[in-house]
Amino acid sequence: MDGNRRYAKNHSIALKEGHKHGADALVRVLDCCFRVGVKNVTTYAFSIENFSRKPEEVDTIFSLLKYKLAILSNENQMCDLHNVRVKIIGNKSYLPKDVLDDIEMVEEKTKHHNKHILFIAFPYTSRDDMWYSINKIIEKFNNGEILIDEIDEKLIENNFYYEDSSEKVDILVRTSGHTRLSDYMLWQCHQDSVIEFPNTLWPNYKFYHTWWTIFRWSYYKTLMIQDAETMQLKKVSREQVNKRYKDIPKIHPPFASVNKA
Amino acid sequence: MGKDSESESSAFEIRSNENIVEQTQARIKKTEELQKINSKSKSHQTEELPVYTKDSFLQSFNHIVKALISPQDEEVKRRWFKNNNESTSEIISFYIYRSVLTMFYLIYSIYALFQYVVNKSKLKFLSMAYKSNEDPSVINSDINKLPKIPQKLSFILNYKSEQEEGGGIEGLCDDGALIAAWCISSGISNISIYEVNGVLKRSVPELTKAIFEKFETYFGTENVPNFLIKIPHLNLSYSGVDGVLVDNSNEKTSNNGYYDIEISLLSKVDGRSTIVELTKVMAQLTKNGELKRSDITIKFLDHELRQLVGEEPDLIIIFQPYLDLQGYPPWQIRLSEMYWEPDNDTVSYVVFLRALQKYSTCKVNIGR
Repeated sequence: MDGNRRYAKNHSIALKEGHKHGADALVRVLDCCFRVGVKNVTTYAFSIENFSRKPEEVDTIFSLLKYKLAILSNENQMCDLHNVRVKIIGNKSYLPKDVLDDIEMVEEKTKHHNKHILFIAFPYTSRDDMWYSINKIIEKFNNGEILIDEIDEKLIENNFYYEDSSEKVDILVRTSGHTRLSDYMLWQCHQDSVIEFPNTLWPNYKFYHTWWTIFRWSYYKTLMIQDAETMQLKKVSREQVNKRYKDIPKIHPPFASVNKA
Repeated sequence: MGKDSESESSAFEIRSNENIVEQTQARIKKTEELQKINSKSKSHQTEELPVYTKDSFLQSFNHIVKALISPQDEEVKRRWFKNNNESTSEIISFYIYRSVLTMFYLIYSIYALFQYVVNKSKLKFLSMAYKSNEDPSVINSDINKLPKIPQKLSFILNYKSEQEEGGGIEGLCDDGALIAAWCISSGISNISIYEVNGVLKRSVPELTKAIFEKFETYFGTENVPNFLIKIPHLNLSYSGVDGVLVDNSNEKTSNNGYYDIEISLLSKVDGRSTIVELTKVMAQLTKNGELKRSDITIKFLDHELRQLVGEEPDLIIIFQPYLDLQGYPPWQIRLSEMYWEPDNDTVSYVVFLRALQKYSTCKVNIGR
């Protein structure tokens, strides 16, 4: 979600209003995503770096987020309608007490929903996420809960703020035309993900944009699947190879052997 | 007696009936489990599909038509048809929706073709307008107009198959050498080249040869620039100084430490696996008491990963038709600008120049 301030500037409205429009856009996009059948959505609401903004602006964003979350999680609102669980990811130690209490209440309230998960990155940076995971693994290792050989990519992934549901993302959208990730989901999107950098400012991001992004993704995905089926490019796992070709030696066969007579 | 035997036999029947019921239940469970496993393996496979398709328009069209007619896979079936014996209305609605989707795909494929032609001709035109002429001064004057240039530059190159034009190891090394020459001409002294499978790492002799030849054509045989090729993952470095290739992979760099350009070669192992290895090492160290847990901060990790992989690049140039990071080290792409030219698949000077032009207009304001 990028471009709220530029939107405010372009329309010569107060900064606060810009963020408000951005929050409305978020609700619109979420509604569209959940209707289409997107399982999990993560939004980058606030970066740890954003604390260097003016205190008034930070307060505005905090109160807006609190307000919107409260509305979303109310009875018969989006969370109930689409069976959405809200989960905050990020370093909560940066948050003031009142904000933390409020969002934890929302998390608690939507805990029983299980169809979709709405992750809100607040306040989040990907490096902090990786650091958090690594730290947690080291702690577990020191407590003797895991062995050294068990540390792998999967384990790091499972120890992110996301906990168990940190699969790679399929589509990552960064609005407002900047072509960099700005410390967001570096680990999750650096392979096999589609990254989109539309020029639209976030408050202008409408149903059409969401649909277009998902449609294009599905088009190329369909092509890929058809491609792989015709080319028989389906990857076979190591175990399956071993199962299928039992008699082929796994290491290089000895071409000649020298024995003492 | 007769009654008894009757009741006995009926009891037996019931029991045998129960047996049958149990057996059938077991069978159903088994098939269900099998289906589950199948669907799991299927979804697993779809995840691992290659991302890049190079089909021509006609082939793609053919695939789409085939997708319409061919029988659907299990997952789709399960989503659309509640029972196994699907009702006609369900089938009809399914095919109506499917044909609508296919129509959309068709329209999009035509649009994509149109866009492809536009992009290609734009690139053709631009490459005629901007030419490097294999002359450093031309490149230099192009770059000097820009208000800022990146300090650290990174490139993602792709290994193309031998059959293609400019493919194979030779083609790859040639591309690498070309990039090095452009960078020296524009005054960038620190670059890294990423190739997923590490082909480039394994062919350092070919790369150095290619770089020598390229530098000779660009700068003349008299003043071939010094260069250093580093492989951070193996902690090796090879240098070419004063036109003589020095292999000092075993000893410390004896040169006075000045190189015109430093090229580090990266591959997939520098990404996630390096972070995993680092975690393992740190876990061991903390256990042995050589490292305090409170010392492991983001700054510390950053320092370590800088040592292991390299600096965070300011700009990543991707010579691919679309944006795909192919597992580029995740820690290093925090604030890197990315540039790629749609529908371009060659390493050309225009892309390089346009990337630098784009970068010079970008403003990075961390958080603010």
